[in-house]
Amino acid sequence: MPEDRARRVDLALATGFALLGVLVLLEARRVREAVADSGLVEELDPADFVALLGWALLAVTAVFAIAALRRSREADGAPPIEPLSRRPLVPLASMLGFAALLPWAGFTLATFAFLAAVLALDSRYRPAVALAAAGAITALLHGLFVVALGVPFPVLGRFGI
Amino acid sequence: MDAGLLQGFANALSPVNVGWALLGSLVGTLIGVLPGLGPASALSILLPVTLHLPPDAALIMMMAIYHGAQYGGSTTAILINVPGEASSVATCLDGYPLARQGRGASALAIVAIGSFVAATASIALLGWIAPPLANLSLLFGPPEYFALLLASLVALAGFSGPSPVRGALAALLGLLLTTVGLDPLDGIPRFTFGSMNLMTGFDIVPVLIGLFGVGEVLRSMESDLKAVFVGRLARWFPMPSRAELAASAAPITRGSVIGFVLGLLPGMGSSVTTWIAYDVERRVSRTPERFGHGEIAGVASPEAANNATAISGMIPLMAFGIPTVPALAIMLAALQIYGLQPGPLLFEQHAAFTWTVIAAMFVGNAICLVLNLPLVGLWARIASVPYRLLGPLILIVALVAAYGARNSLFDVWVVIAFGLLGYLLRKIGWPPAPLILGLVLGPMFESSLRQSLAMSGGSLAIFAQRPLSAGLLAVGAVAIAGAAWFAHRRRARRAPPDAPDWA
Repeated sequence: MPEDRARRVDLALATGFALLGVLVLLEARRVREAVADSGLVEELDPADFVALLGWALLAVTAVFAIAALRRSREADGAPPIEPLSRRPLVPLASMLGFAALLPWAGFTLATFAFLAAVLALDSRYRPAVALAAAGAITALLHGLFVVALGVPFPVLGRFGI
Repeated sequence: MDAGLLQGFANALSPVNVGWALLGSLVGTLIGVLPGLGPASALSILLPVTLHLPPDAALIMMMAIYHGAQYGGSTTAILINVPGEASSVATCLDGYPLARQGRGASALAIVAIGSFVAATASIALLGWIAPPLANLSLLFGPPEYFALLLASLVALAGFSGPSPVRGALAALLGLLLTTVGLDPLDGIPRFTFGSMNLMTGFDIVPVLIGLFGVGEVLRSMESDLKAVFVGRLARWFPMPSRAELAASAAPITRGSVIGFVLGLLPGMGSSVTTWIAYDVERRVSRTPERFGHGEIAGVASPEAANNATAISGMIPLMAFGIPTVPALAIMLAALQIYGLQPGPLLFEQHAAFTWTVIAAMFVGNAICLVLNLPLVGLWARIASVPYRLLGPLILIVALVAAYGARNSLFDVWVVIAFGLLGYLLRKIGWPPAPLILGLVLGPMFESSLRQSLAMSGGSLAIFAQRPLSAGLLAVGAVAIAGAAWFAHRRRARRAPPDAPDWA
């Protein structure tokens, strides 16, 4: 039942927000100790503000959870939850790969690897076409960011000069 | 104002700055025509690129991107029934039927002319209203600023989506994110977990790129666009007939007024005002039954409202530093990056710069009108290119741009993390706008609250004792009541799923 699933998602979100609220209050306690150590005296110190947000988060989460239990998501006016798709996994993984590669392979190779991975793993492109497209777009981006805009990237990383 | 504006035009019309405005209009329209990507996405992805330009050129280009993205959304809404952004959804209702009837060129021309008229009138009002309003902010102390920020956040959380509670949670999350790093007044570390990268907190640029750029692209990559450009345009430079122009004059005027007035209020983004304008137009029409089947007024009024809203939101931004929609939050971030603080000092200490930006709005708007009419066929074809090709290109530009802003690898990771968050928020139907506004306004929110309580010796009564802050808090209370009432009515009516929502 989609409605049950939507309710489960909302309750899981409420649980997550409640945990976050508790984490925020714990951090507020830690900050309060730091404030006490520093000898600061304020009407509303850095810890109080964090605690205020933590309590507000817990209060609104409680309202959200009660609403999720009492009435359907549709009745609450929220749009339906879209089912998750596998398609964004490839670009997401490729972005993580890009971030990992960038410091040691450099901008040009990391960009090429990202584009080649996203395009080649999309089964609708032949590998040769994907590689050629990745190469062309990489050259374009190199021209724009490195040559034209002069962004100081590690251009070729450890492979470069 | 006149001398300042003339000087502004002299700067904005220099060949170099016109060149940047031209480039911004093109790139903004290019991103605006892509489904799901509106002004906020376009500005967030391109903000780091503009940081490599001189300040005036950067803001001129940002303004042109803003206008271009507004225009782009409506082009694809009419020609291929794919709204480039949420604010163009209303345009699809009559725009696409018009295109199917072979009147696509006329609809596009009416949209362009209506948008130009609405934006030009709104910019003129902006130049007239913003400076005196900015002087009003001299009356604002910390309590008044806190009350204004609270009222704005409450209004945004309440009206930014169908569920006020979800909006409130998103806004609180945004405020919490601003507490990461050293606190703004005493330098006490919070939520840093011993990480040096977290000491300075989250930079706004990669967070914006992640939430609005990457998040939207990831969702759009899920579906392969199978849009069809309905036929050829009859003329390379579309122009409406005299009868169509006459029939559109009143709707454009009404749409402009609705968009301008409502656009001053926090949470009233274009996707809300366009629906209101469409609804008003249908109610005042002598032939309401023709709406939804190709009525030119159904295109003219929402698009005029769209552009008027986009400009009128600049008034609270320039006068008080309060962005009413996410795209303007990005503009605020851009202003702050260049050390410009909205308010009275913006018009006094940076008068030349500020009037140049206002003049650049006129220039960018005119460029969009002249440039986009002959290029509508090209934009429609670009919008039809599958996302599996465009998506990776936009993602890599977003990542590279985020890195280039501060040469920080940490920012690349932030983009990915917030991109995933933005994607998930969209999947579960939560509005990302309150989160980003909370993030932008958070530091000022905390500072003004703490300063107010320091002034009063810890008494909250200070907010009620000062008339201006009490009035603003009353506005916030009315906003809460209004949002709750609208939510209750929506529940009672069981609103259709395509009710306006803005991202």
